[in-house]
Formats: sequence, C-alpha cells, structure tokens
Amino acid sequence: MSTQTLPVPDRTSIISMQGLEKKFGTFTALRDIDLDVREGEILTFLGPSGCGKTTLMRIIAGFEDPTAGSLQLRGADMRRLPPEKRPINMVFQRYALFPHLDVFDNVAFGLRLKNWPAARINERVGRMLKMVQMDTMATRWIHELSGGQSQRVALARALANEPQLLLLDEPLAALDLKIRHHMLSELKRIQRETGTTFVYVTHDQDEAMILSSRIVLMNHGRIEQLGTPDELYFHPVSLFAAKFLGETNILPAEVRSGAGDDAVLEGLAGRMRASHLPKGLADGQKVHVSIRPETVSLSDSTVGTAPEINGALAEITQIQPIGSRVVYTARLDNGTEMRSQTVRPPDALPLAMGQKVHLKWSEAAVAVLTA
Amino acid sequence: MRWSFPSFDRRQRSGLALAAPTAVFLVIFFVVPAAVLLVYSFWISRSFQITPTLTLSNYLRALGNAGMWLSMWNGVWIGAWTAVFSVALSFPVAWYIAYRTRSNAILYAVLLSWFSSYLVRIYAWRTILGTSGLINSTLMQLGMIDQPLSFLIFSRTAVIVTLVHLFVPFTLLLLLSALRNVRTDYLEAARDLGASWRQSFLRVVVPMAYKGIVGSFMFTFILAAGDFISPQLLGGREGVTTGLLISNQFRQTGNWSFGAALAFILLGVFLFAYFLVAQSMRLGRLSPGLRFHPTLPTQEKA
Ligand SMILES: Nc1ncnc2c1ncn2[C@@H]1O[C@H](COP(=O)(O)OP(=O)(O)O)[C@@H](O)[C@H]1O
Ligand SMILES: [Mg+2]
Repeated sequence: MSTQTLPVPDRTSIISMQGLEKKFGTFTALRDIDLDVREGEILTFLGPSGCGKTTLMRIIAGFEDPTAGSLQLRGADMRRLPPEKRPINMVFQRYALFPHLDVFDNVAFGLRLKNWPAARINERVGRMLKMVQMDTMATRWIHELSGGQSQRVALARALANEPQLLLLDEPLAALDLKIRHHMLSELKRIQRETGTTFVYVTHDQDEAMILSSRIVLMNHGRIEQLGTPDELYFHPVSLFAAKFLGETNILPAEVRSGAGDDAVLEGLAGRMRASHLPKGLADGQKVHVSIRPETVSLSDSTVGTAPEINGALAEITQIQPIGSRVVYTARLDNGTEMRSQTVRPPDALPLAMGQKVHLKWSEAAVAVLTA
Repeated sequence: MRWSFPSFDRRQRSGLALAAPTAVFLVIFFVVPAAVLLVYSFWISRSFQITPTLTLSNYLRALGNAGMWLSMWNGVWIGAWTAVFSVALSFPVAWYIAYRTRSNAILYAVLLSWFSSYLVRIYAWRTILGTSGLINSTLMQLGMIDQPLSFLIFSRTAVIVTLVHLFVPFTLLLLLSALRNVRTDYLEAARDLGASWRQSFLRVVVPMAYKGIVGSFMFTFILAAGDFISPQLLGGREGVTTGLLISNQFRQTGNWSFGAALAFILLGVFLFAYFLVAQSMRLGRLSPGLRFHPTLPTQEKA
C-alpha cells in the first residue's frame, strides 16, 4: 500500500497547494509542496527546526508570498488576498497578545474591527473566554498572565473571529511539560467543540502523534511523508521518517529471491520477510529495514531453537530500565546491535547481562525503506 | 495621638536602600534647585541683589505684560512646530531602521550630526537661509525669484528649521527604541485579526510606542520652546521667546526673582501642554492601558 495520501475527493479540502515553492534570495526554504488541508481535521506540520514549517504556515496566513505554485482556498486563488481578508487566524508562537489591552479587549480586537455592537461582542468574548476557562480573568492585563493563561487567551482571540482555519505555530513550546500535556487535551477538546480545522506546527513527535488526524513530515523544505500518525509510525517510507518518529533499529539489507510479494531480505540480522513491501522492489536492490524495539522480543536461548527467519541469536550487552520500560541492547555474532523494549515487570528482570538470547520479530514489524 | 517611627521589615529596608540613590539624586539635582528658584520668585531682586520680602509682584508683572504673552506665543509656536516636524520626520526613518533594514548605517549617519557643535550648526543654517545664502542665491540664479526670500532668515521658520535639525537625532533614537519593543508579530497579529494597515498602526503601533511618541514630542517641545540661542541668532523680531527673556533676567538685568517667576509660568505652560497631549491621545483611544468594555466588578479575585 502507498502512504502518500492524494487529495481524497469525498472530503472537502479548505486549502489546496500545488507545486508550492518559497525562495529567500537564493535559498530555497520550500519546494514541491503538494498538500490539501481537509475540512475539520487537525493537520500537523512536523519536522526538525529549520525545515520550513513556519514558512509554510506563514504562506497560508498570507505573511509570505510563495515564489511559485498555486495556493487555493476552496478552489479560489488565494495569493492576492492580504492576511486581513483571509478567513484564517493564527496563534503566534510567542502569543503576541497586545500588552496595552486587557484580556477582554484582546479577544474583542478582531470583533471591534468588524464594528460589531457591544452586546454581540460581549456575548462572543464571554463565550470564548469560558471555552478556554479564562472567564474569571477578563479584566487582567497581559503581563499578569502565566504562560498557560496567555496561551488560552491567544487561542480565544484567534477563535473569536470564527475562522475557517486556525493556524498554531508551536503553541506549546514555551510551556513546561505538565501544562503542555494538559493543553494538548484542551486543544483537542476545543477543536471538537468548535469543529474548526487546525493546522498545527511542531517539532515534537509526541505532540504530533497525540493530536493529529494527519501528519505532514517535513525535511529540508520538502514533504518527506504525509499520512496518519499510525501510517507514519508503522510504515515510514524513508530512513528520515523512520528515525524521526520514535526509536527504531535501522539495518541495511538487500532484496533477494524475487521482487514479488514474497521477497526475502537478507541483511546483518539474517533473513527476513516483511508483510508490507514498497512497490517496484528489484532483486539485489539495497534497502534499509526499520524494526521498532517494542516489536523485538527476547527469550532465553537455551529454550527452543533460533528462528530461521525474522530472528537472530544474540548476547545481552546492556540493560536499561527507564521508568515503566526496560530497553535491552543485544549483540549479534556479526557485531550488529539491536535494541528490544518491553514493559518492566514489577519483580526482578528475567534476563541478565551476558545472557544468550533469541531475538524475534513479526513480518508486520519490518518496514522496508527505499529512500 | 502618639506618633512612632515606622519600623520596616527586611524587604522594605532593602527596597529603601535600592531607591535611596535615585532619591538623593533627585533631591540634589531637581528638588533643591527648584525649591530655591520657587522661593526667589516670591522675593524681590534688583541688580543681582535679592531681598527676602514676600510678594506676588513678579507674577503679576509678568502676567500683566503683553510682551511676555507674545514671547510665550513665540516660544510655544516654535516648540510645537519643532516637535511636530521632528517626530514626523524621524518616524518613517525609525520605522525603516526598526523593520526594513538590518544595518545601522542610517542611525550612525544621523548621530554623526551630533559631532558638530550647536553653534556651528546654527551658523551653518544662517549661511544656508540668509539673504545672500545658499537657497536665495540659487533661486535667484535660476531666475525663480527677483528678491531674496526674506522670511527664510530672522523668522520663526528659520528657528524651527534649525531646531528640527538639532532635535531629529533625539527623536529618532527615542522612537527607534519604542518601535524596537513593537515586535513584528504584534503587527502581524493585528493584520491576522482583520486590521488594515492603518488600523494596525492606530490600534497597535501607536499605543504600544506611546511612551516613545509622546515622550519624544514633549521632550522636543519643552527644549525647543525654552531655547534662547537659536531664537536670538536666527529669529529676529520673532525670536523673542520667554526663554530669552528668562536668560536676560538672569544674565543682564539681574532680576532673578522676575526670571524665576517667568520660569515657573513657563513650567505651568509645559504642564498644561502635556495634559493637552495626554488627554487628546486618550480621547483618540491611542493611549495604552484603556479598557474599552464596561469593567465588570472584580470577578478575578479568586
Ligand atoms: N525571512 C527570511 N529570510 C531568509 N531566510 C528565511 C526567512 N524566514 C525563514 N528563513 C529560512 O528558511 C528556513 C525555514 O525556516 P522556518 O520555516 O522558520 O523553519 P521551521 O519553522 O521549520 O523551524 C530556515 O533555514 C530559515 O533560516
Ligand atoms: Mg518555526
């Protein structure tokens, strides 16, 4: 199966980008961006710092002009539309709440520009502040708010305009870990309540995994992979994607005995079979395989025999308990190291350093990476 | 009723210790001289001699004198237009430096004009604006005028041109540091919420840079309105400002008490001007810290 999701006709797309490119002078910050933002989803731009996430978001908001390609809002060209005319609002990374106004007037800012009557403004601002649980702080000044509170006000201010699309640029990056997890579930609740489409920028894979309907994984200004969190986690298409999301064992391998559905891969961890194979594999082709540590099981080598395929004999060289988990590192005869992760038992660990073990993993656990 | 010396806890003591240098500085350099001057203004003096006799005569004489009112008008006129032009001219430059360029070349070029002395610059403007100066001789050679333009020199215009040249570096610096606080994401947030360029300027930039804008305006206004050197050298008959009258009382006539009274009248005018500016900014909803909604009774006290 292919994980490169193409525009799906049965779900309306709000924003549609084709062949989008952005150059700053001679530096290309974005290239070949083909992407649809679908109605009602939480779409996350994920990638390392500097890969172009903010730039892509600013193009959607109207603060940057793409140097090539098309950008459409419900089928209409958006490139000539200034930011204030787009039915899109943004939560800025540093919130950008106006320090000369109080919480109420910050949220009312956009509504006043539309010359709404006071009663209607009061109703909407009240509702927004209630939604983000800041209704008791309407008269506070901005400098009297904590980071998490500023975050909520910024969200209320952006949503008060009832945008068709809400952009959030690393909104949780400035918060500490505990508030961050709480805000993540708050964001999800607010998205459900309002039904607003979210485009969310983050460099944090956990945030992306928890929040997203779909993830756009970006690297060096290109889209590396686009899919649901599960698709990206279990079926990465490239070395970059496999390494960026979660821990994994990466092993070089070669395609053997036919390139069809029953191709066998031969590599440093012996022979293996994969249940999902990329299309167009050729006999003898060099690839990488990715096997997640939690899919590798360990058992005492004195019990049973070593598996012929999707398994290996190894010796435990490191045992690392991490809270609720244990990570074992095991060395194969050829020196290759593989990690295995299990839930930590409440009593003594069943395996010891230096012990010979059988490693085993399923066909579904093997992801074949051609790039 | 018994009065006891207040006792301070440790935090209050350290607060007092930190505030002390500022307080001492203010007392030495501001409160004491002002108090001395205030006392003088209610005494009598002649030929540099002061007689401690309590009187209102200095104020009455000043306020009953048409020449004093004219000099006040000259000074306020010069100060107001100098402030308007200095702020208006330096604002776009400050904007350009703050948002459009990474280089500080323009800033240094403007600051470089400080390297020449005040008097040198006044005489430079005399040669430019004079009857046989640069502008008049050029215009006459081009045949655009037959007679030299006489309003260029020895007029309030000449004084204003010179003072603007003098104060633009100050206003530029003050406005620039104010704009540096208005990060671009505030401007973008305003646009994002639907503000046009003009609306984001009035509703976000001006209130956020309020201190810099009002501060540089008042700073220039007060210094220019109180100046007596430029008006004397370039103002001709229109150059008789209250500042000049005050300086004459202290340096030539020797009537310190009358000079002090004039100075306090000028101070009153400046305070009134500040009140007018601040009040009109408030009415125009351009000041920070205003609430635009009926303040609900404090719900926030948790
Ligand atoms: N205005 C700009 N001028 C020049 N280069 C820029 C500008 N904005 C962004 N870039 C460059 O584009 C790249 C992508 O930036 P950005 O979109 O901010 O990345 P991210 O948000 O993924 O960290 C970076 O290398 C950055 O230096
Ligand atoms: Mg960024």
